[in-house]
Amino acid sequence: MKYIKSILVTLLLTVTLISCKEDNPVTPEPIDPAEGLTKVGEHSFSEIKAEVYTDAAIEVGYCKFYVKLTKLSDNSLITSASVKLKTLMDMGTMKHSSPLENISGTDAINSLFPSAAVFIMSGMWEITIEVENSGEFTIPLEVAPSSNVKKVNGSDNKTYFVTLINPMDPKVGLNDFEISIHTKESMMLFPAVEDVNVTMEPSMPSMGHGSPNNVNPVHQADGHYLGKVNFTMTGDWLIDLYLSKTDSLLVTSFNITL
Amino acid sequence: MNRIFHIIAFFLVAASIMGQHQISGIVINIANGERISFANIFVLKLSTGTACNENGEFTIKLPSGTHNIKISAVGYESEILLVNANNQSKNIVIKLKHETIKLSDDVVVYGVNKTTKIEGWLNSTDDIMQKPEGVSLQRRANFALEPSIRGMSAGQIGVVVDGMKIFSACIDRMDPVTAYIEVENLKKMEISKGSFDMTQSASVGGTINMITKKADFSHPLAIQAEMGYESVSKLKRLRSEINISNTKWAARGTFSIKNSSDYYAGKNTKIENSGYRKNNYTFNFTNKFNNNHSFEFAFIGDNAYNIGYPVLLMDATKALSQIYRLEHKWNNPFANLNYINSKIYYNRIDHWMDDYNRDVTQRPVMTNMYMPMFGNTKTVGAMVEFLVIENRHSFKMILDFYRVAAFADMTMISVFDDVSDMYLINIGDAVLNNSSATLDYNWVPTNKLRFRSNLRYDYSMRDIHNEDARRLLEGFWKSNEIEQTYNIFSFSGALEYELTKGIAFTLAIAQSERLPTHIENYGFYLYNYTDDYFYTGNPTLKPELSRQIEFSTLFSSESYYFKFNAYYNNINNYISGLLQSDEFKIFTNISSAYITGAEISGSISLMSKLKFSANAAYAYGYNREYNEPLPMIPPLEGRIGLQFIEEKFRFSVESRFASKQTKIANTTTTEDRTAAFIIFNFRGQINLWNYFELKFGVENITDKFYNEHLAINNLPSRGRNFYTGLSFLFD
Repeated sequence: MKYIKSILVTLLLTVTLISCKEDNPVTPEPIDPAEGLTKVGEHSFSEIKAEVYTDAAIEVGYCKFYVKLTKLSDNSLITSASVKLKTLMDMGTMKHSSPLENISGTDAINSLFPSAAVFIMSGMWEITIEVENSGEFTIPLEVAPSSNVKKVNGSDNKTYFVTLINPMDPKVGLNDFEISIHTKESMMLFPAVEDVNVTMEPSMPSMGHGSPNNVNPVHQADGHYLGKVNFTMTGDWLIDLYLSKTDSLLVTSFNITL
Repeated sequence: MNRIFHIIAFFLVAASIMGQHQISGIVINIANGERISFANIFVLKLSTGTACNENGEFTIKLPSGTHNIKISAVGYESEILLVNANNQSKNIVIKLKHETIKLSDDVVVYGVNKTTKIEGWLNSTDDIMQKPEGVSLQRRANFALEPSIRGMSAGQIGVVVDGMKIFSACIDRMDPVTAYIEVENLKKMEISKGSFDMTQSASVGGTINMITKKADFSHPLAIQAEMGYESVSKLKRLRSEINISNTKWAARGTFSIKNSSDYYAGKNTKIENSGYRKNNYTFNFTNKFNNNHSFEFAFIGDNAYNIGYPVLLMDATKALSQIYRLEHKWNNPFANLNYINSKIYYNRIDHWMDDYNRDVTQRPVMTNMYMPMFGNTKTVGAMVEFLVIENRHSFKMILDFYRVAAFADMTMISVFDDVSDMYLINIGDAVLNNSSATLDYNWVPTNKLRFRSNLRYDYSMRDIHNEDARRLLEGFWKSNEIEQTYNIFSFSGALEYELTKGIAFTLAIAQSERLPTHIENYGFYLYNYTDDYFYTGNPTLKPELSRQIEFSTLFSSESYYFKFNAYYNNINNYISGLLQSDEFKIFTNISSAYITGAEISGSISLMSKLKFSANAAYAYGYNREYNEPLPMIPPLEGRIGLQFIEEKFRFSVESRFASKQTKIANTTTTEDRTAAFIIFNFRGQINLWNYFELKFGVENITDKFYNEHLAINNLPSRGRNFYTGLSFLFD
């Protein structure tokens, strides 16, 4: 008797579940390419709407921006356009920009137009987004302080900006280690430096030891250098960097706490 | 050794016997009353004998007069019985004790037991362990010494409790397995030197199997208690024990506590911070369902607190262990199958240590840093053992599975507020699954020859389950091959030959492998206080491969015995530390090393109550890759003793000596030379009334200040120690 009951109950449940499924067919929701990002501003031109997103807190350091363009007429995404990022800090007596990277060409990446800036100091900044054939707009941004950018004066009398990009979420073991190096040519021009030989030495000052199997960062593209750093325990780590060019040697370091 | 050859001598049956009396009897197992099939009955001097039938019954015809009859059975200790043929009761009941047939050089040392007089008056498991030649102890504190057999220890030897695998939780080896068995729970310690006996472990150096006491069916009610005091560390201890039984079941419970202050080394040198507190409790319950089935449940709990490690960086604050075992014995399950013993077990060890009581600002390593550490192992296992005895052959098959999960970590807390805490996983949930099958074969081809062979296969799978720890090891080794599988195969053979009565020779050979420990595979930045290096495990270590040969000879009679043995043990892929950088070492395989040595032991009864005994052992180990001696090899050492034994009292004077050790390792670790020493002990025991026994003694009478070569960081041994103990026994 018990068996029959349980079989009946099982059958009933199965039927219900199946019919539920049929009643509510799963229709794929359109995926917003900007999902998970934080919007920092938007502007409507005559035919298109531009929205600006970031993927992390806005602080001194490497900051990525994603521009999403939609046609106002039918809300469809625009995947081919020329989008440019400019930055400006107005300090009253003088104005300056920052290192900039316009990553996408005319084709969107994952339906977004990414670009990046290295904010070299904290305070009120303006970012300007220029969309070709539509115009430009400006968003004010408060940039929080951090120690991810080191300003170093080289023996060649040039100023260099060394920016820690990764790891931002360090874990024990091997981590990707990424820095960017830029120099200052004028108040408005901060080109990438691509010919630096980087030696990296992580250590724990309180313990007096380093770690094995670190890989010195090597230049990839646009002033980005990629290597590996090995954290053998949690705690305060000091990453010493020795940057050498043919005519200058720079020494700087980052503190990373796990 | 002598007695083994008597087992088969009865085959030379005398042609005719005149004027005879017929005697009959049965042979039973003393432990459970079950009958022993096919035991041999041998009449000494007449060289005649018979054998029991399947039910353990025998009849034998004897001429008038008294005769010594030797009763032996494979797997049991022989008995000699004085029988008067004229008026002996017609039915004799002979009880035999179970014995594992041991290879040539196995040592069996008995724990506290009223009936075994020799070691019964020792105060601790450590004292018992140090008794046989070839066994030395590594001293890290005045607590839980770690055994070393012929200079091999840790993963190179197997230390098991009733066959159970138990793993130390402390990565610094502060908690050797022998710490959990208090002397009142130790029935005997089976020490097999060399890897000829593979029934309990796959080792290259030997095995110590601590056989614990079980509930006893022969005591309906027995109560025992002992109070003791030792002056050298103001040690106060209390032991108590109760055994109750009826025909169906028996139960035994024990409880003991120890409380020790700082101890004094020789010359009245106080060793600060060396005290400890410990308690231990056990419970054992055995139920006989019928003659053929019995179940046993056993539990051991051991807790130690505030153990001072004076020469190390930190102290153990807590060491807790729980050991559970359930065992089923099935006698005569099928024809020719003598028994099937099955057991399942679980044990858990937790170990905490820290340096909060130390001045970390002044030390040379890890300056300004507290580093509390925790370690834990959990082991679950099952073992099945079958015994088949067929005429002159016996086969024992052991199937053994265990799974151990180990974790250890360490937090580093700076004395400076602006330094973040550091955290390190030393062993990140290492899980080892081991399965093995062992065949132990005995063959008695003629009455002068005996052959034994062991075959063993082990399969081991191991991995790291903590993601952070995996990243650490992958980052360290630049490889994601952390998972490891081992197949190892070992075999041994031994041949014993009795030249004439009382003179026997044995030749044994073995090829054996031993698996890396979880620490050697997966440890990460383990601080080793003997050489001040941080060790990292190597997941790709190869097993150690040993090829060894041993020769031994025994001369014995009723009043003396003399034994000599010599061995040579070549080890390939010897696992050792290798300097990597600054203060870091890795575990690596050294291509080749060897350990060779010799041991002698003997005793002679000078008068009926006076016995002189002596033993000595020498070992030499050499690392062929770095052309230097192996570390932690004991020097020539030995013991000489004189015992006077009366029924109501006994006394002994003994000395223990060691020569200097100058053959030390410099590359693989940092060792010191050690000076020679000799110490003297006196022990006495008096039965006061029937219920009380007083024991007393003085150890290190001359208050010699010395340290053993195997003392970590030259920790001095204990100075003059007056001890006393009063025990009460009611049964």
